[in-house]
Amino acid sequence: MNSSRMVGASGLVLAVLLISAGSNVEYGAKAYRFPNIIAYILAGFSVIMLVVEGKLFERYKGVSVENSGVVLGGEKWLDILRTSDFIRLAPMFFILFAYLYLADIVGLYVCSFVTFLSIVTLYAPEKLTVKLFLKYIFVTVIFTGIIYMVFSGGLQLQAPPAYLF
Amino acid sequence: MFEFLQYMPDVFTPWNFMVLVLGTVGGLVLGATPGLSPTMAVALLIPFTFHMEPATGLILLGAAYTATVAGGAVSAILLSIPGAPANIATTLDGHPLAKSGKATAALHYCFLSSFVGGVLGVLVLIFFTPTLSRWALGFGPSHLFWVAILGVTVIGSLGSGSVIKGLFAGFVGLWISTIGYDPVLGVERFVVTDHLAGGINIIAALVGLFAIPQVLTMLAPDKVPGGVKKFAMESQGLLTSIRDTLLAWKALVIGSLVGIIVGLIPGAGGQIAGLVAYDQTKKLSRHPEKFGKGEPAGVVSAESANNAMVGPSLVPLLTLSVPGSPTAAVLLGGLLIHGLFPGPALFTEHAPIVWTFIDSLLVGQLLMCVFGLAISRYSRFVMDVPEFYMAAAITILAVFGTYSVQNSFSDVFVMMALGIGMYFASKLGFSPSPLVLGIILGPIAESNFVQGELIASVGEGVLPYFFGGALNIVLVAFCVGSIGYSIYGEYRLKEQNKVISDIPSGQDCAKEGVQP
Repeated sequence: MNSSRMVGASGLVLAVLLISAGSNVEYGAKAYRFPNIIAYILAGFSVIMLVVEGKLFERYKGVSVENSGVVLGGEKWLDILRTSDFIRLAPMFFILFAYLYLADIVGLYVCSFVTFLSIVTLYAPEKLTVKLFLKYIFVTVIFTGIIYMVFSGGLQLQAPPAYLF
Repeated sequence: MFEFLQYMPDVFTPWNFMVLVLGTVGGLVLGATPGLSPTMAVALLIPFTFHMEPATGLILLGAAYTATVAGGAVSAILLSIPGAPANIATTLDGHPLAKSGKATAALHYCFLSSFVGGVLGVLVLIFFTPTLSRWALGFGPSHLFWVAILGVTVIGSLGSGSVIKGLFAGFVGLWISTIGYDPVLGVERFVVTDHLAGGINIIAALVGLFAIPQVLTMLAPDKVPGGVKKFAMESQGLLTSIRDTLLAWKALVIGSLVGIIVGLIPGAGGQIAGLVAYDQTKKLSRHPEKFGKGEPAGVVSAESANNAMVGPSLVPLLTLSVPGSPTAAVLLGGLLIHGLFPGPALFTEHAPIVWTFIDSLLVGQLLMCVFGLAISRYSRFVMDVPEFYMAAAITILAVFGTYSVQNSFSDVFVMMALGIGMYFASKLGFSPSPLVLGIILGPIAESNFVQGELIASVGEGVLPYFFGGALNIVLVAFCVGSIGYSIYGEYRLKEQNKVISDIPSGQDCAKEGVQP
């Protein structure tokens, strides 16, 4: 299955899910009319994507889609996983999840400091040395300080209550 | 008619002028910083105005509004991250211009066209407020509904991917906007977790859909890991830029007109001004194929529109208490905390305050242009920052900026979820612009749809109400025409590409032993 067909099929599945989410409601069915209309329109767009871009019916006309220049959907997903794109970003996803999870437990500014330092340390191109790491800490302190001055000092932002600052 | 001149000297008192300058410079810097929007900037400044005189406080808010809209174009051009919804269209040609070594020129076009559009918009506000407010009053729910739908359908013609994917993303955005409480009946919808109880905050959506994918792209390996991709900040004379901007006079006129008209429509918001202006300029251009690849007219039309929108968006606000844009809605809060209630009485009981504020908007356009052009010379420092620092800084700013809107971490979770989802969706050919516009225009479309239904149910019927009347027909025709024209354009492009690929190349001919 080519990637356009996968996108179209996924869109259709999404639209069906949205329609069912908006249809089986205990009360207030009228409030779901607008989102249901949108979901039906999305289903229509998905079908168009399948037919036009996915060339769904051309297979049955004997037209080969292999030479259509479209990458096979399964390979596309494996490519995404296989390439260093996803692998390289995996630490970033972990950092983001940890940041969001811990920010209102440990402390927003502390977590922001650690997050900034983690990102620059992990993704800097140069090989990490003690001198470089100290430089990153210095930059992180300056940046976090500016953030604190602007948001908490200047704008009176109330950080969520947490164990630390 | 010339009452505004009477209060012009009040703008130039030392304290008021200093606040105006600070607001302008601060607004440009805030607007240029990815993750901080005009709405956020104005909202964050309101507490600072508590201790000021009403006129001074409004001057600060107005200067920030004007400057952040223009400043948002800096990050749109240099980093492909729009500072505000109004700058979405600027990324389409501004960033390619910067990548082709014309970053300085792009920034010049941005501020010069913003100045022209902004001055025209404020002049419209000054001279035509009474007449324009009466005209804008004539827009009923059906008209506002179609304007919102038009905004979404226009997106389909602007995305770099296919039209159908653009429309799909736009309508997904409309659906996402329904999460939370129904605006009319107050019914809770699709709240699968407490974090969604408040619905999808527009700022969270904007930051998440634009900033987070950009952060992930910065860290992706197809760029030199952590390496700085510098644009050549060429030295371009200001006179050359002025000449080029004036040469794109058609784009300037279209952008200014569209910005004025869109800004006037109460509740419609200025977000679509830049996109509609860009779309119309592209369609009326002799070389539409150049758009999206660094066409100066693209930047000129988008930026003149989004600044021309500023003045007129205050018309329904000052006369009817109906904000013309989300930022105007925040300005309404600024008015109310100073005891200034919008309406006809505002221009009689508080004339000095209101006219001083409007005059400051006019002067502010000139300051925005001057300081913008000056700052643009140093905007290269934004690009000299290594990408890994920029990615880390944008991540933290995105979290703080989103959190600061409602002091809610739920918004931050939503922002991050949308951002990561958008990163993967972009791999499949979807762009964030239609999605975010759908989220922004969704509440407008739905509330007007429901109101229209209620009105139609006791009158002529739903279909005649939404599809009858000259204005409805015109708006529907624009929607259908926009989709149809874009599909035709895409089909034509595919045919052209097919013809080109069918022509045998010299290499192919050599293999066959045939003369090309």
